[in-house]
Amino acid sequence: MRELIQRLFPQLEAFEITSPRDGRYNCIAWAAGDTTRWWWPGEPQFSFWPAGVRREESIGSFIEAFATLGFEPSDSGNHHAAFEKVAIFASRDDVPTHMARQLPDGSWTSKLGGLEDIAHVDVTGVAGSDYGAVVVFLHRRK
Amino acid sequence: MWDARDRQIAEVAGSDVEEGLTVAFEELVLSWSSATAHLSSPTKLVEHPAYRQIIGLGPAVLPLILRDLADSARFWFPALNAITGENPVPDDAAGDVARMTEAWLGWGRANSLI
Repeated sequence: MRELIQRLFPQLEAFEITSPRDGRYNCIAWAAGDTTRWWWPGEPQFSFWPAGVRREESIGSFIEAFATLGFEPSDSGNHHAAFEKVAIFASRDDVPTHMARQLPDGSWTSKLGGLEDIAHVDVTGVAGSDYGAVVVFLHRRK
Repeated sequence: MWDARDRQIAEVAGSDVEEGLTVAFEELVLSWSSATAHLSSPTKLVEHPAYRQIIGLGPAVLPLILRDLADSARFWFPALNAITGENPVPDDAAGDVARMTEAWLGWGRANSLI
């Protein structure tokens, strides 16, 4: 499995697999601290999205979804002991693709679709052709 | 009154899955899964050509999808909906993969597909 992840994310240098494969939740749910649902602003019958937030695949919709959890835009992904941070990734056409959550030690955790969770030192380690790049950091006070 | 799709589903319930269909399904699942298992977007999962081809196999593939759903928790819900025209998932279970899976497996058992 490690080889597969390395092949999917060639920029990933230091990482650790931290869960078994689990198709019950995705990266957005994992960033939100939910391991029971598949979060996405798609068709309501197939995925969860916070009530009242527009269901469209836009960066704004993702920011609004996490605002319901108390997150607001942050200047950077730099570690700050007083804040919990998440990162929104998007493709070149600004369609969200992935989210990662900062761990208490400043490293990051990502759920890789229906695969495993990983801890990775550099948030940009999972950037690339499939996940695009980090476009927004959000934070909330711990 | 039954429509053509209901009739096709009923026919599948009373017959064995052909070996050739099983092989084709497994090859398509491998192609789809290896390309998309790390993605979170249902849009990306569903638009993959192999997933579209699996939907195109029609009701005959339902027993295979339902068995794979039970084993793997892969994102088969749009395919099941597209093939059957049904949605047995309660509104408050949307996105809850365990409950969605149970709802579809219950539908499959009720229709003698698994």
